[in-house]
Amino acid sequence: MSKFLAKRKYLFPGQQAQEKIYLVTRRHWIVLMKEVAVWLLFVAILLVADNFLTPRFPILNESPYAQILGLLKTVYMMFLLAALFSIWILYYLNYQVVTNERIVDVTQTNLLHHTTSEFHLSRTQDVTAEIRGIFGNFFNYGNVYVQTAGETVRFEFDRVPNPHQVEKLILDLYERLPDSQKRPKEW
Amino acid sequence: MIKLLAEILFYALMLLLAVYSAVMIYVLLRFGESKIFGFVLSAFYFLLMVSFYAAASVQFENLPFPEI
Repeated sequence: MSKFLAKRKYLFPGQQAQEKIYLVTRRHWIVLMKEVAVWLLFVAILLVADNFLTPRFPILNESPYAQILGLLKTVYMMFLLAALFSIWILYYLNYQVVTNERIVDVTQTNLLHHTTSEFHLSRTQDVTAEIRGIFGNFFNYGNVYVQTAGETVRFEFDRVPNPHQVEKLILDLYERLPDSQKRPKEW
Repeated sequence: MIKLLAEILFYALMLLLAVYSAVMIYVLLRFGESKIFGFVLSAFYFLLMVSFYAAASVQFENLPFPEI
């Protein structure tokens, strides 16, 4: 138990002892709020049932309908709670880590699908920050794409806060790499 | 017969929720950055779920089923 609770030295699998973490980022909180807003619509169904249906159909206050309705509401609330917890877990377990050596993307697509992908900073070819939409501009969040050498698929930071700062950090860390590790310039 | 069907449905739903909750807690503790935070949150979630289950269980027991 004490081993399980011991302070973790490592944030992701394969992290080296001398590796310095510069950034741990996950989706912007407003993205989480959008999902919670959808969840709140389902909560609203419960309130609508209480405030509009019951007064209009007095039979629902009589036995056995009142007991059945009460049971349905309780079970529905259990599912709502599980859904909220699930939304939060999927938000919490999706994150990206930028270290002085590499970029790590930890993705939890669903509860049973966990992926960790990483690449060394020396393989960075191109970094692009993108802010889209009203919410993105207002709350300053967006995607950061990192093109790696030899791969057609881009590495994506999904709707992270301050995408331009993330882009700058990755480029700065790339510049700090020893020349021997950098890819040769293409003239 | 109706009571039996209702019991099967009710306890199947509860089992589904229990399994789903167990998977969520396992994933949170397995992959989460902070174990202590995961424990606290899971305990809070567990407490709420048990309270809801207790309420649902009592409400289910109080349902008047027709005698056939």
